[in-house]
Amino acid sequence: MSTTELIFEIGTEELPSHDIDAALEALAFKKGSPIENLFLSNNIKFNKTYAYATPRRLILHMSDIPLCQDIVIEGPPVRIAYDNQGSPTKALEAFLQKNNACLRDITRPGEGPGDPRVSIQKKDVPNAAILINILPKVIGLIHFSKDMRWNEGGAVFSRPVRWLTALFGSRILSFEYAGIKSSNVTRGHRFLGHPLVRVKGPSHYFKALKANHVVWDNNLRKKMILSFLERRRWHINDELLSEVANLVEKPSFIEGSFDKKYLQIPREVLLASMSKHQRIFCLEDRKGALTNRFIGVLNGANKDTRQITRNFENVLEARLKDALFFYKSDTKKPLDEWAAGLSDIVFCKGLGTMRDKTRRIEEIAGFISQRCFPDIKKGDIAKAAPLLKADLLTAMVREFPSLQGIMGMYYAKDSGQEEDICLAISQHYLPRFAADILPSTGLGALFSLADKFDNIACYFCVGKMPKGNWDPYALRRQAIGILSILMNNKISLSLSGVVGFCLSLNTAPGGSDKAKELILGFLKDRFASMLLARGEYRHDLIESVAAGGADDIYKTYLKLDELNSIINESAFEKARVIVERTHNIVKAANINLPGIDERLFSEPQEHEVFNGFNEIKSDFIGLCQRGDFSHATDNIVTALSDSLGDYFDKVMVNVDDKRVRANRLALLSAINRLYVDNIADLSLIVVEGKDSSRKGPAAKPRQDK
Amino acid sequence: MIYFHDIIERLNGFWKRAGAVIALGYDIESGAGTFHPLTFFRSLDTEPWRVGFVQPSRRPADGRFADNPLRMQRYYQYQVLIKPAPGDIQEMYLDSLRHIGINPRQHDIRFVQDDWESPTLGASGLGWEVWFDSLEITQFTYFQQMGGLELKAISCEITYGLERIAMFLQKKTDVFSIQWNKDTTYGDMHYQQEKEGSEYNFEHLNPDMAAGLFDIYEKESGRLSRLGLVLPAYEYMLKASHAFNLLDARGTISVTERASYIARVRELAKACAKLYMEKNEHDRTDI
Repeated sequence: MSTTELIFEIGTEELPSHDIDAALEALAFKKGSPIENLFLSNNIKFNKTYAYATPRRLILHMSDIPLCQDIVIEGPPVRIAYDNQGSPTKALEAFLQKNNACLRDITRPGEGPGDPRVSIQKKDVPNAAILINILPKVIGLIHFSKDMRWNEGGAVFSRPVRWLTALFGSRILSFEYAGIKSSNVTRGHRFLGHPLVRVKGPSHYFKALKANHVVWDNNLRKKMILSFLERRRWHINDELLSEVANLVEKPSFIEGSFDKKYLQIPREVLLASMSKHQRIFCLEDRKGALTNRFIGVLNGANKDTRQITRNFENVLEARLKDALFFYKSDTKKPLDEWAAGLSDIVFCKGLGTMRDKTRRIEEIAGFISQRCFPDIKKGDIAKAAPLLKADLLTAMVREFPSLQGIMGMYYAKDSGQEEDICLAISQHYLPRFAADILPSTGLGALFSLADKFDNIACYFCVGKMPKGNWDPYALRRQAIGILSILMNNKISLSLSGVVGFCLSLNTAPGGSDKAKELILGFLKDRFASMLLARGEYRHDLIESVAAGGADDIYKTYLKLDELNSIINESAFEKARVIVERTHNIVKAANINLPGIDERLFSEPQEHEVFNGFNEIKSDFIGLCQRGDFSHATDNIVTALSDSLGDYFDKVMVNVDDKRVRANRLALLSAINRLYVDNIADLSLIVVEGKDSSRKGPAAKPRQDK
Repeated sequence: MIYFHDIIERLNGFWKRAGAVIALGYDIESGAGTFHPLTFFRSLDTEPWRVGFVQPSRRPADGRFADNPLRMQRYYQYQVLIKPAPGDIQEMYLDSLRHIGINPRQHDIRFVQDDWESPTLGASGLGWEVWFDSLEITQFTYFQQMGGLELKAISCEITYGLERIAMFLQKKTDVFSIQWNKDTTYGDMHYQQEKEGSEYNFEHLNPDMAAGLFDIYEKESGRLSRLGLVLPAYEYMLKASHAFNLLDARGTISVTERASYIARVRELAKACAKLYMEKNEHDRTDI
């Protein structure tokens, strides 16, 4: 069957960078995506799809679409299509007329359940006619974080749509959307190309774009920019790189400089000022220090860039002058005086001001330090805590919110604070994003934990816990931050202890056992998904360890690592069998169990298992407390694996005598709990070739959101 | 050389030919041309409307003691409002730049996303900052909301920063050396005002007086609203808004107080917008 290509260009006024990314995502034809479904449900076959974008256009290019297809159109149900005599009704005639068909085209379905309908099959229906209906819907299926209206039609999009180019081979697909008629006309680069460019077909379309100075592939633009930057020592900033690639239709470059006196401004301020205001890249020297040189990316090559470069430099000069102004006015008073204003900033409705927050941080930090930071002085906590958030009030942080903490550090230095305290101020925000660095100092780690625990406790208390994609306070990220610090710094800490303490500081409603349970569940969940994302451990092993109690994250992590090292050994498999068999039989019984009564034993195997259990019990627990989980596992396997196998072969657990039965179950349950409570619930381990249905949803890998 | 007053004259000429009413700036201190009644009220209804004018604008917190080439506590905006926005409005704008002597092909002109919002006016819109060699020279906005009302007809607002454009055209790196005409510079006209204005706003303004004035203006605006006097009520809202801007620049109000002041101004603006729309359903208010 002959096929052709589709070109669909949505021409717009300049789209925001993040909206370009959103549109490319929507047009990526991911499995199950709405746009893919639209084509599939209309039976439009294709081979490859490509999505491209510039600030002024979104492009969908599809290959090998058949020119025609056979389609089936469903009509009225048979009982309505024909009367009692079997003659066609008015309804059927109307259906035929509407579809330009006659009676012999009708297919009558056989007897079947439901309400079968008549249908007609149409052969060789041109796909062009179907695409004309689909393409306007494609536009509607691209969603943005913020939409706008621009004319009386009420259409919404990221920015106004101004032209539509739709070609199926050389044929124009004509339709109307938001008052615009689609055509075979595209537009060149805003300043370098022709304003209107008529195209003859798909391959000519790309030639025409090229001739009119449009680099339509955003990845290619990014590559062009990167290859220019990589010839120099640029301060790597991938976020800015992606954004800049979305701000131009054809990149070209300038190199400029600024007065060296501005290098006295803190590095982070220089970088923030350059990237935020002018989207320019700063260059570094061999040692990684910033130089007074920068690279700007222009939209299109100009012959004479001297004046443009001078203009960029003058603008930068004014910006840096402003940054210096902020810096000087902020340092007119010491940081602790700025801190006084914290009592004016509301932290969260119902949870007091930022001053209240820093008081809580101080208490939580005190609580944690007593347990796991013995070297940190109470005096340092008291000195640093009130300063942690003080920079929120300064002009620089109001101008560049991303510099919170960092400015606090510089201003604390200026106010003569000790190095440790200055570093703690900037480090208490770490890690700020998924792959960010962790605090390098004890005090920084301590405050980072305290601040994050407080945030989680507070927002859970007022019901603002994350749900689905909704996590405006980034609590998931903060939980991961807590867990990373605990694991990285080898900190043994009882989560339930800290969370309970945090909740006791909140007078907000909901600071109850329920909130505590929710928070601990949330943290445990994050722990599992974080380890899963690392890909080093099997998900079932993570689940089984998490199910065995994960109150001390660091210890749990060590346990996981150790179990992972013996997962392929026979002792592990034997322990798994012990846990699984005891689990299955106890769970199936589902009764309250009494204490074990030796007098009710009647079989030698019962005595043997019970003796073995008693012999190793305290050793086993001791080994677990020392963190030696593999020896503990060996221990229980040696003592019980064979005898328990014998037990299950010879002893009937579920006998009629209720007391005997309960007693036998009690013994098996004790063995199960010994392993599960101290190490892991190995009944959650998936065994190949076995039905794993009872594992339920918990065993599925979860996405970390 | 294109003098400062030539730029104004050329913009007036350009927009006059585009069918705009060439009006004059409003005579009450305001932060931007958006606050002019010919913008605020005329963007609310669905009547076609085109207007252009110079609006002297006050931004007390942006003062830099006449020591920064880009930031001032008082400057000039050229304001255009077009409703409905024509399909080629961006091209029209670029033509207006050509008309004042800017050749876009010799520079780097960019439309960079800017989600505009005026919390005091209860207004928001989507559009861009227009960059000229990396400096914002124009704010370009499709209004979506004004005075707390969702707009039925979408206006396009184009706000030119006159000083910045003049600096580029005259190749000056300092705003005060812009030639207003052959013999007079911008500095001759405004240097002293800028310096003393900054000193007053940042150092000598009596915060109690400004807070007191705010209360008086707010009360008066509310009273006039209740009397159905839309424009007088609006004027007192403008005065209250400026009193708040002064307090804000002085740095004596807390963050929570600041948010509450903004909300109070917004309530006044919303009341005016609502009243205007109610009155307009019966007869056109003359502005």
